Amino acid sequence: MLFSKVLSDGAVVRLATAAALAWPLASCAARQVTPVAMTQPTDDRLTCPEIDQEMKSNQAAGAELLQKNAEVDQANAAKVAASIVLSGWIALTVDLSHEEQIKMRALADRNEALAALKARKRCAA
Amino acid sequence: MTSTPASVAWFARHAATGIALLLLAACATPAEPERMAVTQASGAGFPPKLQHAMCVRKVTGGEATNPLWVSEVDDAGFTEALSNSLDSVGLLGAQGSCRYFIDVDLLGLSQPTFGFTFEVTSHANYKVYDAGGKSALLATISGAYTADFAEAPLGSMRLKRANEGAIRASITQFLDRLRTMK
Repeated sequence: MLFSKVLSDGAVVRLATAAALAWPLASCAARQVTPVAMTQPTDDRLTCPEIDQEMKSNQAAGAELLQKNAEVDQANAAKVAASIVLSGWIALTVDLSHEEQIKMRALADRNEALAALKARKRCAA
Repeated sequence: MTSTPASVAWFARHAATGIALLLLAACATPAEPERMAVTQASGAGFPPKLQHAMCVRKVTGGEATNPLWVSEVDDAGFTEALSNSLDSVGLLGAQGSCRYFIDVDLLGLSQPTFGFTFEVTSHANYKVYDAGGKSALLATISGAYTADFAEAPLGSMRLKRANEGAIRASITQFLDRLRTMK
């Protein structure tokens, strides 16, 4: 009863407009992403087997991130399509943090630095 | 003419969609090199061996801007910004006389989807090699910048300014790292 009264008063329009204008005020920062650093202070202390082990685990983590990145891309595309067809609000849930992509590229560079360290330490290939 | 609940709801939905889309995207343009370059930095404090000896060799990982989506930073724009920054502090070498080569991997930009203020963080790996190919500096640098409503009222422009500021912050930190290079 009350709801239909509110509707007839056009309050929905005012509420929607107010919400649309207030929404951006509620600032939404991107998710914090911390990529692995190319070089680390303890690198010089790494033994050859430890370097190999880290390179392998980085490769495994990179493969997992590649898969996740593809999933995020697919979800984003679906959200954009849904925002056009259903409601523009859905577009606000698109993930632009690029978290997986950033971490994946960082791991690749880390492995490049580890490979150089391996050569410097004259580890077996 | 009287408004029915259905027409009111229709209007509300389309108004909200329109506003949301306006805030989100529309005509995104790539980051501008001159706004990403560090031109106010002091040329003091750099090791003499780096002066007029550095060249930007390779930049990877940048992304082209889709006008219908959000502003990005591309490889060419970043290369120009970094070269201009090095030039402004007297580190850029003439082609053919470079003794240090810089490769940069742009890991990506962490961008918010929406907001009154946009905080963007750029992540990049800077690699400096000497003429013999030996790494002289390998640095992972994250630079953040917040663009507010006063800087650019339009959302797409605000995000672009935030991207440019985040790259500027990254280059500033890179120059600081060069100052401490042995």
